[in-house]
Amino acid sequence: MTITDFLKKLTLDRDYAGQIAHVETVPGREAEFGELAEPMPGVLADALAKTGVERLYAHQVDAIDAIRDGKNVVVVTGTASGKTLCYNIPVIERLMDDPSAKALYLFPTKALAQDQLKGLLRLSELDERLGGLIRAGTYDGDTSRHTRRKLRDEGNIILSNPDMLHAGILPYHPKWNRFFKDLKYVVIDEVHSYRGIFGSNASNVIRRLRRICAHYGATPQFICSSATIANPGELAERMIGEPVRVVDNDGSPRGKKYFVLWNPPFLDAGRMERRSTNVEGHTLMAKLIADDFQTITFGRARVVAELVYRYTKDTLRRLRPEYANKIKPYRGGYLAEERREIERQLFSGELMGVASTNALELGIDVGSLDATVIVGFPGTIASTWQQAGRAGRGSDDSVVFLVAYNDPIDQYLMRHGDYFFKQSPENAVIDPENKYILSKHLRAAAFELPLVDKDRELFGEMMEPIADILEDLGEFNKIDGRRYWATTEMPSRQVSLRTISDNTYTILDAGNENTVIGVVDSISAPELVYPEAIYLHEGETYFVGELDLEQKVAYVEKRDVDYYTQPVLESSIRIGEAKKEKDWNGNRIVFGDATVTWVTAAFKKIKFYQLDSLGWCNLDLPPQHLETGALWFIPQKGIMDEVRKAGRNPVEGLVGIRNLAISVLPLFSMCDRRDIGGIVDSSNTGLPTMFIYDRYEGGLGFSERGYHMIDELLRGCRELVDECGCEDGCPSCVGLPVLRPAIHQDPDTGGAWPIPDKESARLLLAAILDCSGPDGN
Amino acid sequence: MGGGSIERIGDIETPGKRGRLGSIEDLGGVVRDDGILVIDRSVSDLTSRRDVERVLRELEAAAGIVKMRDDSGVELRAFLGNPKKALFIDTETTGLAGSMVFLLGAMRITGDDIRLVQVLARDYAEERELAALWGEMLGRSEMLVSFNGKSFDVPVLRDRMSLHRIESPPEPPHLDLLHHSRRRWKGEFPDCRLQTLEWHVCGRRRVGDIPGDEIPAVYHHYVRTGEIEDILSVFHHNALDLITLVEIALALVPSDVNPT
Repeated sequence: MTITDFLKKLTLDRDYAGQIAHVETVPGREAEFGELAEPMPGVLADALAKTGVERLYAHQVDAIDAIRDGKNVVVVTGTASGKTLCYNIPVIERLMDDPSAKALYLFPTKALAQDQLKGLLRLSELDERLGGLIRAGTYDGDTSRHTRRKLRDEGNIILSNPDMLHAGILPYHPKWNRFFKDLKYVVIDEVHSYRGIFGSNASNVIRRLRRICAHYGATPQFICSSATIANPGELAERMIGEPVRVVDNDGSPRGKKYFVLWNPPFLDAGRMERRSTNVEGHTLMAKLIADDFQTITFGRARVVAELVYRYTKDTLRRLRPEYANKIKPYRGGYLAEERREIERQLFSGELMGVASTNALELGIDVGSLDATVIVGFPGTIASTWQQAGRAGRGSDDSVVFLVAYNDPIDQYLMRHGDYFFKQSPENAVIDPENKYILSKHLRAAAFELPLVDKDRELFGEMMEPIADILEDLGEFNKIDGRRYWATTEMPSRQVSLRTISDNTYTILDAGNENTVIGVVDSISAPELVYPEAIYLHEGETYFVGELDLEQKVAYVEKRDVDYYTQPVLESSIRIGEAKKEKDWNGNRIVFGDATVTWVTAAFKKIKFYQLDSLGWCNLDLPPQHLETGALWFIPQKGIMDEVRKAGRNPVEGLVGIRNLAISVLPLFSMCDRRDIGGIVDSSNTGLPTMFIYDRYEGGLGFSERGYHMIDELLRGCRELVDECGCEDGCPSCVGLPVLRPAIHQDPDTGGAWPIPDKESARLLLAAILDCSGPDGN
Repeated sequence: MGGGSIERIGDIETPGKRGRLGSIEDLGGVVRDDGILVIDRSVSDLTSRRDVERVLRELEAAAGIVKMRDDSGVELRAFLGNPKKALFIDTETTGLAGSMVFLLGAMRITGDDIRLVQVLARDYAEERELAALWGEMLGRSEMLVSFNGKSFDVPVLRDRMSLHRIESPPEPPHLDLLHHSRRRWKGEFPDCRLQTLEWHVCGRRRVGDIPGDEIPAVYHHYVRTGEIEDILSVFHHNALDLITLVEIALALVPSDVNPT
């Protein structure tokens, strides 16, 4: 059966209720090959031929030629376009030429490093000459002490991650002196994932890496790879601090791709409720698999992957029983070896399908599949295309379904079929100069080697003033113009590169000798494995008997129930000390300390396949806190009244401005939208107040910048809302996709906030901005 | 109690701020042209001439014993066979892995004395000279004796040389007394730390000694202020550790044939 046959069959099915909102045909293209300026060594060419690579695509040729030429390169091509070869070939060539050469590969996750190691080992097994040359291994938190030493002393391709480089390699650089001395290449894979706080931190880790390399006499070349984003070249240059050649002439062949927007039908005549998105998504997955299309389904949360898996398995038992055991769920929190096994089975074709979270969005090589089902808009255009890219085998046709939730954003996409396809993917913004982040890394750098004047070339003009402050604090001590680390602290240990800590809870199966069956990060554990929760693991229902907050352990036991549970979260903000305040056009603007608190207050029981709650239980868990910096904005009462007089709800307008500000502030603060949060409430100040806060312990200056640039910020909001061509608000203006990623929430059951009234926001902005004179500051 | 019957060096009190060792000069310290401070003195300055002579006698006697016995470990035998070749070492650093070495203590048995050399980097910048001096010492050494030096002192010094891009000479045989002590006194004492052995094996307590975990902060304070008092207690701590090393080595000599 072809994809087009399948689509026709879907619409002819008696169940079909007009779900297809839009079909976009993305045209295919032929492969475009090229020839290297100099052929690669015969050994390597032979080995590649054995893996099926007889010729190189145009982009691979361009990348390899540029790398041979000594250029830094970023390769920006689609999923499964052979990006890995763009760096593996020149690295291996170099090893053949110069056996002492070394390469460092950095991946955003440990899983990716593992996956790429497998690829390298496969290659080296094909020819004993390559096997004798490549001494590669992953160096991360899971690496044993013995292997660590061996890799340090003997490895020539080290696969690691920026967190490990930051806290586990650079502070101990003398042990790595032989490695750094001969370091020729640094590969940064999936560079598009380094955005916002993580990217700003990682770029400073790269600065520290370059400094240590220089100390041992090396100036490595950088090779980056990126998925399609708006600004890959700019991002890569900011990451590594040097010019970068962009290679984006993707020469890999592509089949035609049918991109279907699928809207679950209404359940009632009143056209309010729609059929469950998870149920619709699983039906598509089951039908695709029953017709022999290997399928990957992406859900926004772990619970979605589990539900879709469970439902699909059930349905396949009827449709195609022999396939019911040929699907698996895949998500974060499974044990590493389980994940590796699923990846392998997917790649080998043993599995017909996998229901996943975005854990499979990054470039783990599971081969290409025939179909992707995206259950709910993932929140960014770039992610959606990444997930869609999993479907498409060579030049065969493929199909992608985007199944909408009954929430404002997804429904907007369904109503405006071409909106998504006209949008360019997002910018990835990082700010290596952020003074908070920079100071954390200057401390770490000084521990590694004293800071000298020349280091300004790497760390920029802010280095001196920040170092002076650190000296006043007694952390640095300047001796003969060199700044030394002068305390007993280990500075890198105090800095996490990411907003989510890598602290984890362990999930133990109490019914099976307390075997470890999974992990969850400690911040979100109380949202997943709260007492009496039903924890879904491989589609099975486990009852959480106890959550031990001290030991960070959840004890679960298999129990057959016909429901799952959903956490009910409560969050609030409490303001602390105001650090800066001003009156601006009669409105009050403050920057200060704030505590954002959230807690799993209760949970709901939800019957499988249904959306209705069976019951509700209160919980008594301790809340979690984030102490950070926040901006608060209190519009003067008169302005709010004016909007009310115009027949609009001013608080809804303020919510709209909050949503706009979260889109606009990153342009000034150089952060990612996910790095900031916003709340509108009146309990702190007695008046409706908009809060924007930094989603990082201690704050990173994002909202502080908003305080200083309040005029530009609100003008930016107005520009955005005025220029948006929508009628009553859309995801591009007052409606914002996913304020806080739904880590463990099933979007099917959580009432998403409505898109606030656009006109209220416009009126409010006009009232705020237009009464300002030229001196209105 | 294992360890034979040599008469022990008595408790050694760390001099207070107004004690008899009031200044570097009193200790015979010399600031070299390249900055580092070197104190070279006899161990008898810390204990007594009698103690030193007794230890030397014990060593001589032990050398005879190990010729007859061969279950005492290759390195221990090599040491007792020719103790004058050994360099006893102990370093003080500013913390865990990755931090700097600021004090190097090296002790050697000469013809009729036990000499103790201590090298201090007076600030962070002088660590390079300290590391270079260590490189020279290491190049001349035929044997090292330490307590946990195989896993700590020697690798840390190697790392610091590497950081300062100083070529590291090949490392000679190394008698790490921690390993031997673990085997010998397994389960007999609460733990196998140096000061535990000092009490249980050597029967000696420290009075007024600076706790090891306070040492890094003392050094940072010294660099910032130049105040020498607390650093003097670190010198003393380091010296005591080295003196204990030689006693532990002697205590490891099989006791049943140890003559008095």
